[in-house]
Amino acid sequence: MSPPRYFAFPESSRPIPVDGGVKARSRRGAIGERWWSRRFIAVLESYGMSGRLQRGRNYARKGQVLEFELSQGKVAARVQGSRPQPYTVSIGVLPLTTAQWRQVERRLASQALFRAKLLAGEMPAEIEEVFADCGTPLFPRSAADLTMRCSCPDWEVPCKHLAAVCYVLAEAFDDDPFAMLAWRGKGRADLLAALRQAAPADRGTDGRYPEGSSPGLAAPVTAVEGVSATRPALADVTGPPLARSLADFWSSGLSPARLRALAAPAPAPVVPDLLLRMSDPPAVTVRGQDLRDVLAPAYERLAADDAAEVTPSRRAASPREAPTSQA
Amino acid sequence: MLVVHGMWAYGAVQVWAEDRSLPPRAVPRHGRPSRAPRQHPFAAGAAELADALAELAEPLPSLARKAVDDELTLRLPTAGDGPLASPELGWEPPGEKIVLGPWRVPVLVLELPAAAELLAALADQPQPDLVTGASLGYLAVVARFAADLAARGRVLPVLVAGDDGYAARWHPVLAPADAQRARDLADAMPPLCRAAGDEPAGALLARALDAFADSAARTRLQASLLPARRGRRPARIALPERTVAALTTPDARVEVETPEDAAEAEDLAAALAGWLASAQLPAGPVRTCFRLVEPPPPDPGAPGAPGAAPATSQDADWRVELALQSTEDPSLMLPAADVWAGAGGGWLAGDAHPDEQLLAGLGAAARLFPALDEALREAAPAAVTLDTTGALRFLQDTGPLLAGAGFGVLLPDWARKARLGLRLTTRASRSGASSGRAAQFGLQDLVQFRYDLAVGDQLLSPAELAELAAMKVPLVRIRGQWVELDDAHLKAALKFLERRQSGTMTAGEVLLAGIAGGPEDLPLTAVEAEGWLGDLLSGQADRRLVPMATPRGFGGELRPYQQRGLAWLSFLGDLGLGAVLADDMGLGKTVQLLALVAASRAKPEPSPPPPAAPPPPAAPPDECPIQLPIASSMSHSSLAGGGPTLLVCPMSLVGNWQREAERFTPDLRLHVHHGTDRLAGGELAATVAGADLVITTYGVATRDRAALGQVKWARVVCDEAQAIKNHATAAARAVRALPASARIAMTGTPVENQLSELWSIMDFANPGLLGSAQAFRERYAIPVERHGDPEAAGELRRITRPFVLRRLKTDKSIISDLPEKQEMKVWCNLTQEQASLYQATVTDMLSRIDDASDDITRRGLVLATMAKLKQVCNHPAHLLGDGSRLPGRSGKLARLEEICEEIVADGDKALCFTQYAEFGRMLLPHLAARIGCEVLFLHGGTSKKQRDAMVARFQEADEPVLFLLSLKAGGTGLNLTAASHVIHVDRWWNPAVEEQATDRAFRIGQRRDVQVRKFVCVGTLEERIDAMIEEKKALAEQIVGTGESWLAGLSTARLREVITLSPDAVPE
Repeated sequence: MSPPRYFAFPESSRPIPVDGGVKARSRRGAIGERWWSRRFIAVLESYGMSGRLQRGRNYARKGQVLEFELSQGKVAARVQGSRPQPYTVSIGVLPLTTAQWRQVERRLASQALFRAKLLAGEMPAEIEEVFADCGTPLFPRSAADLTMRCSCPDWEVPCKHLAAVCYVLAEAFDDDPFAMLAWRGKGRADLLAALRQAAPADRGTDGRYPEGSSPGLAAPVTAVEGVSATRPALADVTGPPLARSLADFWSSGLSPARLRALAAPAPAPVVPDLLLRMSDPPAVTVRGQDLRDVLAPAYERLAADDAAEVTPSRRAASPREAPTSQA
Repeated sequence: MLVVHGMWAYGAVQVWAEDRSLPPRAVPRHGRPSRAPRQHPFAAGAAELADALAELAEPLPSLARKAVDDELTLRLPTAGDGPLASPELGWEPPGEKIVLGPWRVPVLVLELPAAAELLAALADQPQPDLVTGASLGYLAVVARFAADLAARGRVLPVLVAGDDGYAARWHPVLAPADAQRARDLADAMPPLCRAAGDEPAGALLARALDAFADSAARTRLQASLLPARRGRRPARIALPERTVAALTTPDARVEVETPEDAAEAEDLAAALAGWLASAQLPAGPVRTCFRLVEPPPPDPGAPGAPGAAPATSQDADWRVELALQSTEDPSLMLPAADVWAGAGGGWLAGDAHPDEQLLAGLGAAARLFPALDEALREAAPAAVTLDTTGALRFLQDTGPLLAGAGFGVLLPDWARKARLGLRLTTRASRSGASSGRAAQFGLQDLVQFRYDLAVGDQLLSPAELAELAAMKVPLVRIRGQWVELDDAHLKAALKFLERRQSGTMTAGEVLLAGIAGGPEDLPLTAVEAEGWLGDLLSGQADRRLVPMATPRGFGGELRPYQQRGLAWLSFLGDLGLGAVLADDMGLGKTVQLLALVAASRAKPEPSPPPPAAPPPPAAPPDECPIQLPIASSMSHSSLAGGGPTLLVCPMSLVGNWQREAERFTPDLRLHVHHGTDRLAGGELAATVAGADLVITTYGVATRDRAALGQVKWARVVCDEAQAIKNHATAAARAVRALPASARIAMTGTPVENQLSELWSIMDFANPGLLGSAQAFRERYAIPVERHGDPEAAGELRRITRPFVLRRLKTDKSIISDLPEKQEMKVWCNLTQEQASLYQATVTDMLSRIDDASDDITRRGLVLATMAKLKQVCNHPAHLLGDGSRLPGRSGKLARLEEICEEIVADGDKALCFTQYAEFGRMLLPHLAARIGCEVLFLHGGTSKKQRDAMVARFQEADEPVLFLLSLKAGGTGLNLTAASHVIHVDRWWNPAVEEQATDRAFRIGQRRDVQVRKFVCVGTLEERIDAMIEEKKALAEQIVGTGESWLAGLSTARLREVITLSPDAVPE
């Protein structure tokens, strides 16, 4: 009888590197950056398995999560571990009953605040109370509220694969608070339609509309390589293919004056650090100071009138003098 | 000649050039066909390009040294064996089929920030030997846009992961308005900019904007954001700190060495990226809008009714109404109540759910407007209710903040306007003072004055003020009008009441008080004076003064508005005040100035100064609420008239002034102080003393400032005063230092658009009057130009209007004074080079004409010579046909540029006729680059289809367009009535043909505002023949209808007279 074969502990082996996993997403949005996803992560952390969680986070960053699908009440994912066959992972949560949803919707529709904040990409703090009042907490209170399954041989729950998926999920919540509500059973489009219906004002809309058809909303931003806010704003301006631009190949479509007008200085904001006030910097400290306080002087200096600038050396005082000056 | 192009590729600006002197085609390939890209046949070598840059003014040479040579493969339009040339190169396009082909092109690679410097230098300064292609101009605009984003603080820090580790960058965040501009900019990208890779325009522009904004932010920030560390440096500095440090260093890299570092960097990069994404407001066709609405007026029966004491209540019901607003047409609004009710205006048609648009905006705005949170507790909020304090905060802080963030904000029209201030009222001590005969009056005149407290146009009694002060609220309703009551203003007003509020002061002090604008904390909001002083202060003196008749000995008739202008110049001069004559081009600034000089010469010797006025009864400082910056030049009134007038103008205008003076004021003793052999020392002093008008250039005035400073000038006049727009230049300093009893600045460009220029020009005319450049900047230039402050703009208009006379050719009163067609000659000088070529051509012909065996040979020689001389007058490169550079070699071209610049600045369109298609072809790229407007060119070879397209474009464009036409092609059958200017660069010598061309602009509607300019080179055959045509003497019959061939019939002696170059052709 041969000695029993021992499986190598999965955590001691290296996972198979993955190309094209959900990595790009995990690099862009911080994991658990906003208060609502932090609350969600806190549930995981309450399990007290920090080493496993740390590895799960690394998995998430490396892009070991191959597929990730958020649907009502369930997240289904596949995670590449050290074996060739990716593990199947699912995280379930108890969806709200139809009656519960109706109750929640009524409450959410009663104040414009909820929709306003959600549409602006923020989970309104008051929403927790709404869910609690309706007898179904927004955040899982304990492991018992979640159904976690993974096909790996690791018997601990959550294993690192589950943890990785949880991090990716938290990140989805960061991006779009509607995702958290979708997980609880009602997708963005359905919820908004329901809220429109439930809103007391008299209206003639029928409610439904296709996902993402409403332009200009703070819809989830798709992952962008290289971090740019200008690129999404310009992504759909392609210009005609070069081969079809032969007639006007050299010139801009605008007259020089019109072109220059596009770069004419715009009025300066009333406060130099407007951007710092419009959105919260990450909770990072530099030498014990908040990032906001460290950066604020930079905006003063950017706006300073005498700040150094690449200025065109102004034309000579009397340009008309120059050409024929031989005297 | 090089045509320089540029593009953003591989994280740097790539500059390359086409060289006119190289062959247009590549050597045909032999042997097996290969797909490998070939060397671009006429792309300049990187070294040649660097050399060309090195010859230009700094900073280009030092930038050229920083550049690295490289090679790019560009896909360019290609016909057969050669890539197509850019239009700036001026080659005829081939008739062959055009495809896209790869060409290897040497490039100079310039990294940021040097690249931004290069673009600024090339785009804003016309270079003599380089033509900048549209792609470079485009990149320069991109760089400027990015720099403006940085200056407005529209950048956030990010940590970017690249191939070689992490880098800390400032990336732009586009406000909705910026996003629209960026999209327009992406749409306008010349295809050439994409020739290195055919990346979509938007993505390419995004990368360039990110890089340029980062560079601009670093340039502006310079020093570190963190204080220097004291004591020992810790072994490991935390990653966030290193990132912040790398935001200001030239090398943006953040070293990541340990795995902990890497994890931390990844976290921070993600967090910063999330921040960047959340800061970007969605840009769409609608935005959320906030409108502040004042409480309804109180019931008439209630206490505090109109007419009674100021009324207010702390809990007044202010509302900020919520609405959706169209970003394209801000006048389209849909109130929130309608949005909740499901209404959708026609302009909202495309939007599925306006309520969600509104909600998303409200959710984002709540961060800047905390009071909004409370309103959002309702299911369908229509407005935010504020108390008076909240309303004031909205007026002063929140509103501007929301507007800056891209939301729509509407404030009541009294906001930031009706403020507590002082009103100064004066009454003449002597009776019968009207501005009719102002010369009897001076700045020493005593007037009675009285200061009152006022709010808007309401006077406030001390009792009312006391009541206001007692209420201690910042927003009050005074007699039905709401007023922001600044605490500091209130205190200053109470203090003011303790002082004397009336007495006497001099007219000069009133003038200064109006300009000084009251003490900092209590603005002087209005000055009301009667008589001439009132006319002066209201800026209406020119209309109130008795027009001055055309002076004796003036060879022309002044139009009514010119008589008014003359009276105004004379009035200000008599008061010892400097004047800025800023009439539109073509209204005759030159004529008015010459008439002024003629009038003061005709005037009897200045009457003895008015009986020595007692020194101004300077009120004791504690009684005078306003500190007067007494300028010495203000304290004496002098009658200009004795002594010569010095006229300083750009070199290109010397000939014009000379000719116009000879024509209109032949009696004036004229001296032109210019040229290498100009007078100096005692000789100069003697000549000047005996002259009425001395003409010189800015260059000579600067060089001879010591000698010219010795003369007691009756007046110093700066023509084209934009030449001294930069007060720090030597020319500006020199003319300011010349002693003069009166100063006049003349300019045709609207000075009110460039405030620093306005200051510099005003400071020449009235030194010290507007205060220091720095103070002016802080008080007017920055509020007006950076923040669009209408209050500061209004005040600036008020204080400058006594000294600036600007009439537009579109003013009704002016149009009625103008003839149907305004024709004028533009006198140009030759450059030295033109003169030499001209002389050589003349000498050559005269040496050969006697050898001409027969009439046909002689005729041919004469006509060929005439043509050559006209080409020389146009430009040396026109005669030589060698494709050599254009700028700085022709007096005519210099004038043409100046005039076109003015036309474009006025927003007008112009037709520009030349007899020579080849000259038009030379002018086309040059003017397009130099003038900065669209330039069309119609010549004999233009197809009918192209011609129709051009004509339609010219007629329909809603911006300035310059239309070059060869006389033959453009002479007939065209409707170009959109032009308000017609320029004949060279002459056909056939009035009928010129007339016909000119009439293109008059064809329909008989517009009255068309100005026709004919260019004539002084001292050349152009001037002689022009004179013959004007006189219509013996030759008139022959001239008409026969083109130029009649010239050949002249006798040799007569011919010599006509073509000889006279010494005054070249001003030096």
